[in-house]
Amino acid sequence: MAQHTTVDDLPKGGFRQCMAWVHTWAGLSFGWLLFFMFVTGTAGYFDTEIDRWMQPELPPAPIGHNVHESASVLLNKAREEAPGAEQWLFTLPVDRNEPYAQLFWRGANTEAGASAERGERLVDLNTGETLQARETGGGQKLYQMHWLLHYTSRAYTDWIVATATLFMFVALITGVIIHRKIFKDFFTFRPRKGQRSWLDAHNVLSVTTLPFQLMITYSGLIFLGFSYMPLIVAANYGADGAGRTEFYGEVFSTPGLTEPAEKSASLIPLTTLIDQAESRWGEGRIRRIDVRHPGDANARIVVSENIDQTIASGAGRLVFDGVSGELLHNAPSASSPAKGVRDAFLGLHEGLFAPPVVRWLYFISGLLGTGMVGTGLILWAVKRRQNAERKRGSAPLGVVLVEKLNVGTVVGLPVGVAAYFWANRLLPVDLATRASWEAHAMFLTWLVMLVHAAIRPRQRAWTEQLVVAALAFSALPILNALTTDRHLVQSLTTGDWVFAGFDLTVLAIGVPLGATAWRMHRAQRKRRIAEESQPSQTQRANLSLGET
Amino acid sequence: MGLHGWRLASLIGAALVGGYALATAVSFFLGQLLPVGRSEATLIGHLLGFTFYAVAILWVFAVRRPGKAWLYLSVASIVFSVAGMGLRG
Amino acid sequence: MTQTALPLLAQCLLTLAAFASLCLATPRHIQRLKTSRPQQWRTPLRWVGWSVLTAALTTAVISSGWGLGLVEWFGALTLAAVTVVLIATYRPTWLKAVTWAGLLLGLGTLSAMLYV
Repeated sequence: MAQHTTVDDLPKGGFRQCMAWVHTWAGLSFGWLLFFMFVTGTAGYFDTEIDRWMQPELPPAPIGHNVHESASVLLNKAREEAPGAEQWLFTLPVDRNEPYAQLFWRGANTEAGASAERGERLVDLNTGETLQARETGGGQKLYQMHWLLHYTSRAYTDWIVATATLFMFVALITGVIIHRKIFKDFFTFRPRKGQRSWLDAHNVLSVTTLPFQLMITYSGLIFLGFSYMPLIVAANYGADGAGRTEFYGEVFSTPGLTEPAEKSASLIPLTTLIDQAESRWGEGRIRRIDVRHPGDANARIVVSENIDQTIASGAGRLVFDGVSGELLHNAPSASSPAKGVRDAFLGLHEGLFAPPVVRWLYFISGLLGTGMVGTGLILWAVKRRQNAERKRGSAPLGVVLVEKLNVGTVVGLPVGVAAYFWANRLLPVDLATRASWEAHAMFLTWLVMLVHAAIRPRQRAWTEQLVVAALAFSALPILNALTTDRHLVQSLTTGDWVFAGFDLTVLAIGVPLGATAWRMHRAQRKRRIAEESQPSQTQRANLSLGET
Repeated sequence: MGLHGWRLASLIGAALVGGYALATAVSFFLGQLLPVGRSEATLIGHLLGFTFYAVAILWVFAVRRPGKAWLYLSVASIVFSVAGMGLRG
Repeated sequence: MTQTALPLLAQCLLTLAAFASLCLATPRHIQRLKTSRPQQWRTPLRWVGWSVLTAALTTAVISSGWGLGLVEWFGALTLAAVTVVLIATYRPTWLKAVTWAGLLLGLGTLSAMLYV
């Protein structure tokens, strides 16, 4: 038994066969982690929409609110909450990326009346009050799992995620190499043919999304480059922390920032700066106002441009003297060609620039990518089970293990994500560690699904979990209707597109899952009936899941 | 019979460790070779690093001989690092 | 938002027509043409497919610039390709109609863009 659970030998054959081996094992070894990254990353394209669904108490988002008014409300709030701070950062509700006005501060003086040394508040622009809503991890926490995972330390998370991404990159290249007939088989999908169908599905999903896959994988690597290849910085700047700081300073820091003079001076009204910035960029295109050392003679105000007109992750910044109002620097984010390329890759990865329709294309590409990883994992198991049963009659332990992990992850993880949303509505509002328990609910559910997959027969495990997944997603709109007053009818009639979009999307996920479960169940029943009449044929039919 | 057991493990090690060393060394060297500033050289190195890494990994599996892979990758890594250091001055 | 919606719709329709045309040109589907010698149509269909793909790319870049235009084009490409694979698998008789509908509606949207 043991020898069948180990890795296949690296074949002696030609180049293509070797690359096929690399593709198989690079894909399988990190497959489930990649599946997790694809699921959470795809959800992340709607991170702020999920945020808003998870805090239904919040009023409608004041997107496009008058900039002068927003800035003055935030400034008053900052003076009240965070006097003597080193930094006030005002985020304006300019588009879906920042739907609410937000104040962030650090280094505030609690003796002078600050509510905390650092903190952040969502601010109601009509009243100037802090917006109160239930505690939640929201879409942000779900999205952050995409690269921070959960229950892991940052010290090694970057390495795990980067290695998975590297393996994905290698799998993509080898996949292209071993796929002989990319153009010829471009449109080929042959359903109900077992292993053949899974291979077709895997090919179609991979080839049609290939540009997206290459972009997302390589840009993902660039995100992690500084942690993964620290020696490149060290070789140029020296191996100590000071060298690294110097490098980051040269490349990333905003020009013109200084130490405080420790002499007080009053901050210039923001109005003139806003007018200057808007005359450059256009009305309503200021995304952030960053005030450093407010009240000091060396105060600086950095005004940042919205990123909706560039695919890059950063846009222009204007650095003003915070006392005289003089424009000190006009600093584009792309300070050099290489920084520009880097910004473009990172911007493409996050898709923050994407207007609604393009955002949906991102989301669909993400889903198809998730399908690519899922079909790859399933294909591995189907192929080996078929071969093993042809030779010996039963599947080896390794195959069974992969099969169980596949059910528990390909279906079980989405159920976990649904549980994350269920927990948001069902956990008591005054629970102290509410946000953590939402995440616990997600991972506990995933664990339960893995255990279920381990103890149930293979075919049964699939149908049962698909039923659970279908119910978990399709019932979310009902749960939402029962626990808030922003139900689907309400949101559709009032044009509340965030809520309507969420409810309809989970339905669009749940219903096909249910249909798949139903079809699978029917096929299995047919097979059982055939088994009773003609046992020998069914064994062959049982070989693959792909026939359902 | 193909490659298996310790020799296969050694080959995978060469791909991951040797490839990593080579990618870092080549990225560093390339930065020195280009007529750009220090921060730009570092950024370019980081942009290209993973390409070198992937190419090195595929090369190792195309060669399929652990000894040769380790030898070539180590020598190349050392040569590129030393050359880069020399150029940096 | 509305600035990108219309050009993107045009690209989705055009790439859909292009892929449907390319799919019809494959040996598996060419027989669906009810002409006496369908094989003759393979090359013209391929020409239509590739030139419409190029046209869609051109309009994308003109209307949205290189950055966003390429993103839109690749996104539309993925969506259209998957849609055509599904049609070819489950409703292959629709391929011809999809080619025509995509072409006409796509060109219609393009001309509508000129007046908006």
